[in-house]
Amino acid sequence: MLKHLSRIVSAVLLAGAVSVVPAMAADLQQIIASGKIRIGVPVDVAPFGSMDASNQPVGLDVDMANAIAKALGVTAELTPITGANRIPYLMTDKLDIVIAAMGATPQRALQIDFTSPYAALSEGVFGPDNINVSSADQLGDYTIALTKGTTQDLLLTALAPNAKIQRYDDDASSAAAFLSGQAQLLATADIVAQDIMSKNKGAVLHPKFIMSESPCYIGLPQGEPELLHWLNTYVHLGWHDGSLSALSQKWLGTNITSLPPI
Amino acid sequence: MSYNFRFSALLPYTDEIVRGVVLTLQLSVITMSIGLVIGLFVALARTGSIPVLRGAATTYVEAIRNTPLLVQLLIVFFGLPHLGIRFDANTAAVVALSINLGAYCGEILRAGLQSIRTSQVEAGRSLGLTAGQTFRHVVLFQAVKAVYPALTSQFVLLLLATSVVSAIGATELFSEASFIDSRTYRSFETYSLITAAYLVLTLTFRALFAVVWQLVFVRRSRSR
Repeated sequence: MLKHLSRIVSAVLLAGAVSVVPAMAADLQQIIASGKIRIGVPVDVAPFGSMDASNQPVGLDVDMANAIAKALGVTAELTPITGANRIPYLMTDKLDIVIAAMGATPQRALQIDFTSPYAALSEGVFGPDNINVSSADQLGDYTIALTKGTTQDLLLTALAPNAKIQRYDDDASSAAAFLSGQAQLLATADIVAQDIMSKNKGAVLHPKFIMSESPCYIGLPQGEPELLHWLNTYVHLGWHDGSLSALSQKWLGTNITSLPPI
Repeated sequence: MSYNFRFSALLPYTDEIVRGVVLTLQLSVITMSIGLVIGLFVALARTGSIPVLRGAATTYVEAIRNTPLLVQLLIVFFGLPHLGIRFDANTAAVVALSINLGAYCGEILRAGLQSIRTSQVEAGRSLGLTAGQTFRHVVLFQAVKAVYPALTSQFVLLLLATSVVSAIGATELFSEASFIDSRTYRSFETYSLITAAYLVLTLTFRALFAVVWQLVFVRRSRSR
């Protein structure tokens, strides 16, 4: 009798286990079972994602996508997406995740889920290595070019009201002021600094200090808790082992060591 | 349609506006002086008999008068540093504006010089004036008098043209206005205010030029 009962109980439990476990982990299990993960990456937001000479997507987000696929033991199926269609792609199940320098907002979070941030766009003061400045109060007599009315202008004016700030009408003029030596430092976004360096051999725009960070998050459809949790674990470990800061260093030139998790 | 003017939003920026007006005045006066001197030499070179100087002056005048001021300005400020010639923004503004004004003044003064007949020079010399005296008192005086209205118009145009030097970050009136605009977002008020400021500046200059005309040309002519 007791033996009978325990068999029934274990059968019920087993049935429950069989039927419940796959249902809960369908998202993650499906990806692993299919052997591929569909990831949307940008191709128009260098250095996060752009097309290289052989028409292959490259960039921070592309590296991140490939690393995630490798960690899952599946192949990455990369789809180029734009800022406008990245959320619709997720909501219509055309993609499993989107890694596209995406910022989170409460409105977006009503439609899709966000992981903890894996990188950040930063705005700061950039310049060559021989200028020894690491905070706004060390600017002294150095001249800083920036674009009038931008967040960099507002932030730096607030941080260093007495600094020698040269204000230009657009980013191209600010860059020209730095490149022609009219200003010794440039206040801008890290991706602009990278872009200027990549197009001007000899120009050195390394971060002196960062004034603000806009974190980037991986997006995925709602209702996939296993995948979300796995991605958050992956991001968490990435900050721990330094691979995410190495990625930022490689593509953005900025050394972010961690960002507050979601 | 209605717009709520709030000029009080500009009050905290009085210092900037005053600084801008002062710098615009300085830029204008310095540039007018240098431009006039350049123009005189250019006019002399173009009406003179030395082919090299005439060629150089013609090239200069044509190159400057047929290219935009903004481009000249950007070349002086962003281009020349690559050749090792570096000016700060305000100096670069004076340099570019003077080079520009010099070409226009040169053409205006050339017209003036050419309007003086050779017989006038001959008359001066035969009355015992030296070549220098003849040039100063007979040729130049009458030449400037003939083109004075055109010259002063060019000076007023220059004063207005100083507004483009904000492109290289010179902190004159227009640059200060766009700075204030970027902080207050009160574009209409800001630009209305500096429109009035420019108007006062140009009218003041026109009045000054009229006084100079009376003192130098009308009274001196009458006393002769």
